[in-house]
Amino acid sequence: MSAPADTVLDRARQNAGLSHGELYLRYFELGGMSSAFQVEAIVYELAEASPHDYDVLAHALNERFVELGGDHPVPYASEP
Amino acid sequence: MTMADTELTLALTTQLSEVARALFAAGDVSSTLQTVVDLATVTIEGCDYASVFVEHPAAIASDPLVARLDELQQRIGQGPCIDTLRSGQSVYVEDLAADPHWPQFGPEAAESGIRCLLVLPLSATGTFGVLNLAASFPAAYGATDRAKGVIFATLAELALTGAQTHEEEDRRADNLHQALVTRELIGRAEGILMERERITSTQAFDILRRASQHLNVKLKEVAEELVETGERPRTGPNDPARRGR
Repeated sequence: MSAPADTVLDRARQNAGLSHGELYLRYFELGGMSSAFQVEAIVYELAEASPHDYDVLAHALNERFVELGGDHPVPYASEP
Repeated sequence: MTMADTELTLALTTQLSEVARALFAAGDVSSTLQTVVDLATVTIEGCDYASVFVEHPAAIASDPLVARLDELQQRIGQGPCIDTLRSGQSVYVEDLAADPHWPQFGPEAAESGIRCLLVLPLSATGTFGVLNLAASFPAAYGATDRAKGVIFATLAELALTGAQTHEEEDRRADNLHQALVTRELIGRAEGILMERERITSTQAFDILRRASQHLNVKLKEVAEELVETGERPRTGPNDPARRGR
């Protein structure tokens, strides 16, 4: 099996110190509607997210970065 | 097998079944650890004090005397508990006063009144530390006591693993419950915005998300404020919902 692709969201997830399960819980908490499996596929760019779904995921990551004393490093789909 | 052997075997199995029942009924990890040390002294003949030794913080002990002994090992970095923790192998010290393996620990332990130790690993990974069975007299444990000790330690490990799994499941359930509560709160805040501004749920989320970023607080808090006060959150200068109005 090949290694998972190096993607923007997965790099952010790793830098935020979140497991896939933890990220999904945060995404779910913010109202995300996709399943854990779909979210993982989006993170690895194996599935395309709607701009809204992408933003929920980006915000889940950004809130974690704020907790760690950072800013909002993950760009939003609705803010080109 | 003689009649006496049969009775002995029956007594042993009954006792170990009771031990298993008590260990598994103890509850969380810390209560299970306390039950392990308390039961060890009454289950293993010859054992006067028991502790669960870990490399750092405080060990769980049945008595301050054995707790001090554990602290001594932690402080000087020497002793049978440390050896078992590192090797995963059990250690039986018949007489600490006469054993040359631990030149500083042995004499100090004997001085404090502990002469004999049976140290058993509690898990292959060392997660729960090691079981330290201490006795005031040398050669306190016969072959049967040592075998009982091994079974006791295995039961303790299983009970501790079960308690840990149970705690993790509780934690996961709490996290999920908290996530559901927040999700509902955010949904209500979106509903207010949707109704009031005649916008979609996606646009409502966007307002909350921008406010969260602008105010540098969690989206949950923005939603809470909106639900409690009814006031529209401030989203900064680039609010698309406000542009062109």
